[in-house]
Amino acid sequence: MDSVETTQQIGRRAEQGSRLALARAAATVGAMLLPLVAAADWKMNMQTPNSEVATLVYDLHTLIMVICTIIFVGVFGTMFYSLYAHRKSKGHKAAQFHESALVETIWTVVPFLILLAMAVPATKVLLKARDTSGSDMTVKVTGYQWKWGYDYLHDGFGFVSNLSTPFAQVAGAEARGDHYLLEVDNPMVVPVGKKVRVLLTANDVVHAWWVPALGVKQDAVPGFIRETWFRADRPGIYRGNCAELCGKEHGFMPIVVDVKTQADYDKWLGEQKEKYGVGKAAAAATVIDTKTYPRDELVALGKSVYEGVGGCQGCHQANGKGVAGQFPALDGSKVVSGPMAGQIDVLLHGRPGTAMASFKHLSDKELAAVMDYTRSSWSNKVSEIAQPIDFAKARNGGKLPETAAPAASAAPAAAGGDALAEKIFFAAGKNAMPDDAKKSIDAALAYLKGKADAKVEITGYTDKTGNAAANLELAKERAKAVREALVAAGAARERITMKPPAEVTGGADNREARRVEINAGG
Amino acid sequence: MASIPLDPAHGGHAHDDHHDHHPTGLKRWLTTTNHKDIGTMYLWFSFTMFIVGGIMAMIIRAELFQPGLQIVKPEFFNQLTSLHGLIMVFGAIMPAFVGFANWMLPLQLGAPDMAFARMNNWSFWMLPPAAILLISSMFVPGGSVAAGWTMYPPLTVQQGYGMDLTIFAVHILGASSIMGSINIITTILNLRAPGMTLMKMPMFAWTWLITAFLLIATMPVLAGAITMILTDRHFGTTFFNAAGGGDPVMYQHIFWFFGHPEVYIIALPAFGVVSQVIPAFSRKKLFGYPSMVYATASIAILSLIVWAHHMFTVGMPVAGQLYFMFATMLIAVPTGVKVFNWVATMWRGSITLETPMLFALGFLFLFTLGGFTGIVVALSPVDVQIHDTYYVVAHFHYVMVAGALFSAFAAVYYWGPKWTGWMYEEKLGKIHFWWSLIAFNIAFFPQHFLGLAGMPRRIPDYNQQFTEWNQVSSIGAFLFGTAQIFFLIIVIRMIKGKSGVRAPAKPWDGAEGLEWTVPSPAPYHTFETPPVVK
Repeated sequence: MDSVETTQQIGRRAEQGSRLALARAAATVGAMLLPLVAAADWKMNMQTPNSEVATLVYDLHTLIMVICTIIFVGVFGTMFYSLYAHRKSKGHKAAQFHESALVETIWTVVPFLILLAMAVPATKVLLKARDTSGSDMTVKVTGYQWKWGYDYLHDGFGFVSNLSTPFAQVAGAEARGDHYLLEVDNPMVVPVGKKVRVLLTANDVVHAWWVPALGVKQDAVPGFIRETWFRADRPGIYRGNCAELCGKEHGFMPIVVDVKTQADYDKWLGEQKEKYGVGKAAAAATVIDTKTYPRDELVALGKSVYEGVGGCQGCHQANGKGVAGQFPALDGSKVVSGPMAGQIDVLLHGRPGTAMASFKHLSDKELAAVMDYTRSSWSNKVSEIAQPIDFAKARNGGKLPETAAPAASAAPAAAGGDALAEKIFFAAGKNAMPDDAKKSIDAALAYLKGKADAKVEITGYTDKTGNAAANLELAKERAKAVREALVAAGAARERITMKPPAEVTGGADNREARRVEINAGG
Repeated sequence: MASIPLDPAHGGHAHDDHHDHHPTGLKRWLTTTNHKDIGTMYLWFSFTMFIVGGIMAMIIRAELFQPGLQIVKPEFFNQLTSLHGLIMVFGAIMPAFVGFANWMLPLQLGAPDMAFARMNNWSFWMLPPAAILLISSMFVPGGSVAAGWTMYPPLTVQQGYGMDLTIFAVHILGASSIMGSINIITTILNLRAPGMTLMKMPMFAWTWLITAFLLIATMPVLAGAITMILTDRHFGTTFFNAAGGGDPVMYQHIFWFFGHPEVYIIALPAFGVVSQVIPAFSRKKLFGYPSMVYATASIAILSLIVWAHHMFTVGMPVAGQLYFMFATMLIAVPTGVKVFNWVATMWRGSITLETPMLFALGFLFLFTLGGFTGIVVALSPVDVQIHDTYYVVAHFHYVMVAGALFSAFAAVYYWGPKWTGWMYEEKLGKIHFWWSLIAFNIAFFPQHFLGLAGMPRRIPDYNQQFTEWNQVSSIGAFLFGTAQIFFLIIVIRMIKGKSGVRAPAKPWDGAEGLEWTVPSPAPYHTFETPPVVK
């Protein structure tokens, strides 16, 4: 990850190689000797703390260990003395006492007081560690099976962070680097000395975000937001792991936090904003790849995505067979060999309620490539393959954003613009238009007025609770309600198409799921 | 029916008793309502599961011997850690202590048998099907439960059919435990010999009485939690799914309301055994008997109100976190009282160090060590750093293996002569003790270091910085595993009478209790006329 570290790493790898050779030799001689032979770390205590909370915890732990050790020595000193002195073999005769109110009271009260003395500093540290107020910045962290997503909420961009250790190192085919299993492609970057508030959630199952040197560990619970914070004392790279068992790749989703000086952080922030097009008009920021690529090129790229940033093989396996009963096979899958739209939809939106997350953070080209790889591999021989432009269209409700054409001049200034993606959220079980729907209706009207040939599509969704057939009916009723509202507001009925959803239920949560979408139509 | 009993547990040592009418062969064991037969079956079942769970632990430690994946795949590794936990807790440790209760409670209380003899048979015979379900779940598509023995959703909702088999297995094990508890409570409350008041009962009976109430209080709660997982998986409920208004963290609360008392369900009978053994080999009465009883009851009550200390990182309110921290620390007080009382029992006694005493002392030493790391993990801010790391793995193995297993070994050596009619070989017993003690510490002490340095639990592969201590730990684990094969040999040799020394009615000169008033081996029927306790 760091160019500075590269030479050092090469050196260490060589050393690693010799260490492995040594280990193998030692293993044949006798496994008992191995730890003595190998160059050893023998770490025995907590990592060097790099934040106020981590330091407080470190000191608290040391204090408690000292107290416990003293008591331990006291109690077992007494016991071992007794075992030594009061032995039958030494002719000791047993005394007859078997109770003493005074002594028993003392050893009830004294431990209580000691515990009280421990509780005071512990309470202070806890209150400090849980105080998230007065933060300088907020980053939202999302746990996925099995990677982390980082969203810089106030800066308008986000990215996904994957394990970057090659599988060859895990399998032992390649020497292991120094940061084996503790390295990622995109680390979280924060400025030194700033209070960083971390909002946590998860996409699928419970994960836990843990960076020992920064003194933070917080569970990421799907459907809920939790918060924690840290303030790094010194710049550097700090590493941790997911700490809550989250499935088979639980041991392979590390956390790396790159703490930079403020100046370096600002520079990094600028680069990221450039990279993700933050601050530019939304449409102009999207550079649409309209090129048609040869199949071989996409398949080759797709293989690297499948094994790398996509992380597909974690579940679906390198042989495409999946894991029976848990992760579906892609080899021979109906979705993979079926119409393109179905597979594109799964890749962009995931399958709610399963481990299949949305992969819309990947580029159009990466998505097309990985899709084509699955369509061309194993026993799959599908003639129809996707191009990046298919994903660009799918992301935009089935057609290209018009600004994408090279001829598009300035970003549209007119209200409504050329893109339309309005969502109206309904109350559970109801098809009555909510109060805040007017904004969306107005946006759709403005869109229709903007161009004479424009059309809109209305799609209704519901949440997953309750009877599926009733939900389908409810989705239709909601879509109709929106259509009537549009017509009432002055839209021509023939310019509105009712489009059934690919799947009636969907969305990250129930509120999100109970919606009607108004999209630009073809 | 022949009047000569065929009882392998008695080493073929026939004793004439015209009441000994029972079927022979397999039918005897299937239909028996005799507390001694059922106790024996519990103990053999428990040892079998101990070996199965132990083999899983050996595979886990072999995989963790060095970085990289060598022996198992990550998904199978998760199945191993999950089943190892479930099998050891529900299959090995709990049935072992129910086995001791079956054998010894009627003998200690002067009762002819357990109160509900037929239910006793039924509660044992539910165990083998549950074990078969649990183990066979490894061979169905998707494999067994791989979400840890705690079975947290939503991960458990993702699992294959193996999860359903596990849920049914735990239901059956839970039902068996509840029936066993009802039996134990009724036996203790109703079948004590005339004159034996509650406060004259042996400590083992007291600890089991309290444990049985804990089981009845918490087992149905576990059954409810896993039933909710079952309906979330198959019947469209969303108890633990936020998309349907549920909450994954609610499962953790319900589970640990069972899970924390479970720790004491395992530990309290172990305390009971140690409270019998230490006075016997110190030749001095147990120090502070009433305070031992009160401390046991306090621990049980406190154990019901501290559950969320297993969840300090889920993001509960600060006030909640403080409450659970203080309440948890409070448990150290009654536990401390027990430890001090045991030490005071030895103080100015006349001590000998036979194998049962050695194991009781090993228990005391290691359990107290686990108790101290228990205080460390009780402190919420420190726990946030070491939660879900190898430190916690080390902590609960000190409490469970040392706390339960060592005292179970003490019980086998202490009461074994009563069961078999033969003394065990003292030298072999001592080797077993020192071998176990040293290997246990090599296996688990370094795991404290691993956890502090930042190694999470339940991972099949790790960064090289953790290699050395993992290797030490694995070597210790292999040594500890083989020591238990040695234990099996010692027990078989004891049953066969290889020591050549017949056990007298009371082999330990300092031991007290009605169990030592009957001959060794204990006749098939004992205390048909209740003894009178003064």
